[in-house]
Amino acid sequence: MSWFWLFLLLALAMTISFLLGPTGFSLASLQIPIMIRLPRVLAGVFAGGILSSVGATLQGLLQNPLVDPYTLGIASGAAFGTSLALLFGTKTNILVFLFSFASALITIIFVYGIARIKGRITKTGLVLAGVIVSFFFSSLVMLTMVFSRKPLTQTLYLLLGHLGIVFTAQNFVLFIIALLLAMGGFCYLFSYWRTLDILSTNEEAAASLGIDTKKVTQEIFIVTSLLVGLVVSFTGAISFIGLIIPHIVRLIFGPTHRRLLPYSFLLGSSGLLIADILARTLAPIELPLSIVTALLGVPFFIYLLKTKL
Amino acid sequence: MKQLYYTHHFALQNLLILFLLISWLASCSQPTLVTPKRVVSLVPSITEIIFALGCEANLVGNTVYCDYPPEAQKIYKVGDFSNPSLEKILALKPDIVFATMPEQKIIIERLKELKIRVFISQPITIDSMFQEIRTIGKILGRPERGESLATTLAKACPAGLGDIPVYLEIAQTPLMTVGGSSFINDVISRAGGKNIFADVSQEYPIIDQEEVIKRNPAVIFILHPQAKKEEVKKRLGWQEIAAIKNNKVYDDVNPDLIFRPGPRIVQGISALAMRIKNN
Repeated sequence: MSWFWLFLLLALAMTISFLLGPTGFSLASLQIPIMIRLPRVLAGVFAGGILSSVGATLQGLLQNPLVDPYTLGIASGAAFGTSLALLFGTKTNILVFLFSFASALITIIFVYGIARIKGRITKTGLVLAGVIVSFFFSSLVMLTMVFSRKPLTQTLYLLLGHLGIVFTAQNFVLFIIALLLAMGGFCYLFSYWRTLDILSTNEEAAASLGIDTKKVTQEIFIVTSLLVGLVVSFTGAISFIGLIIPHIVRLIFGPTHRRLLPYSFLLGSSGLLIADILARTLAPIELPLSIVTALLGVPFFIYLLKTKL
Repeated sequence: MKQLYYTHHFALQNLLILFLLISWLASCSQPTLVTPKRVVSLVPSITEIIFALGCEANLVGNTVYCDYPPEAQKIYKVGDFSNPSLEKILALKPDIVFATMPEQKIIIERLKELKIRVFISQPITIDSMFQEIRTIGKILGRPERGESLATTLAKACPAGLGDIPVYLEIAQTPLMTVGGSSFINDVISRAGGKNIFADVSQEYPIIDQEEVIKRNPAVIFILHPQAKKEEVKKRLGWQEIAAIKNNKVYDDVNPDLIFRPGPRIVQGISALAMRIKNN
């Protein structure tokens, strides 16, 4: 039954997003909705779903309720890779993605390394390391944008994300490939649901059950960097969606990753589409997505900080 | 009685003369503005104007964006266009600083507080830009040069007849164009086009692709390096646009010729006009 409601919500969000636009909607001319809004809807589903399920995975793996691709700095890291690729004048999406992925992977290793003090990782230490590294990479993004003489608005949209991607036929094909690749990555993460269940409750038990924590951590880091790299290279870095959605899912449907991961994907997609609808309608110009997600997400983050940590 | 009346009248006349004399003296005693010897320009277009007026010997500082003419690159840099360093400007002891609004509002206020003379360049039309060249000529002690430069440019500048719908893109992520209050709006009109986003009040609005398709421009100019015209032609949903159907997409106009309200603007307008008229 929960599946039904989540799919219904997603279908609703997708429909509204499809019908809404400055040129309106009429059945007589479907050109604009299909060519412009449908790719946008797909981008929203892709970004929201991936960021939320990655958030859920990382929260389970690191036994930390405050982590997500944004708080861990992975998103800013990926954004730095993207800006670096743009600085070198690359317009091929594959190269932008490779830069974004490599940079995300380096970031997560970096953060993990900083947070590890005397062989131990504390919850606050990890988040602090993430925030520091996130600031670091955001500054580097600014720096590369200044060097490449890009207008500040562009930097803003890269660091705060948006779905108004201008697709050419060619990079739309690449986007579809990225979408399929992301689904593969998601399935891979999902295959770890049992391990994540054990790790998120009791790490010592994991060792006695024959789980190689180090190997699992490495593999999940690589896959999550890949996924975040894919998303950020298309939409820029979007905050909070990967943090809040898994918590809402956990509150409603319980903590097992068998449900948590797919439900986070569905609810994350719907959530980001709703945020995008707000971003498009709240102001005369299209707002960067993180403005909306942060306005909704910060109160929730404070609640988590007060109750869960 | 009559005598007294006359005396009174005479006194009034005297008073009037005295008043005129005093006001004339007062206007004289105001500090007459001396021709500045040390000039700092924070605006690339003003740097170009200063060079065109032949006053470059007095130009002691400019920004990293001031790259034309090539000699302008060798002049001491006080920072970039959006963030010049107040300290570096002060160290140059300038007699006048050329700046622009609204981008440099903060530094202009600081300079004024420090009693440094500031000229604010803010041309919103081509004509006001010509007027500005004359004013700068006067300020820098070259009024004839300013007058002749402005006149020559005005003569060479196309009159701008026609209303061919033009879309001019200045960034792809996010999609940005120029609005009605922008100087570039007038550049498009002079070139014989009509900016399809002239009704938008912001100078550089962020827009939705849907709007571009709906407004159906006959000519598209891409003034940023993020996309080549072949890529623009392949954008999803853009094939219905007249400019794409008729192969009227151009990415070969030097953006500096369009963005800088300086002497090269005439070349910029001609470059646009040539491509618009090809219709």
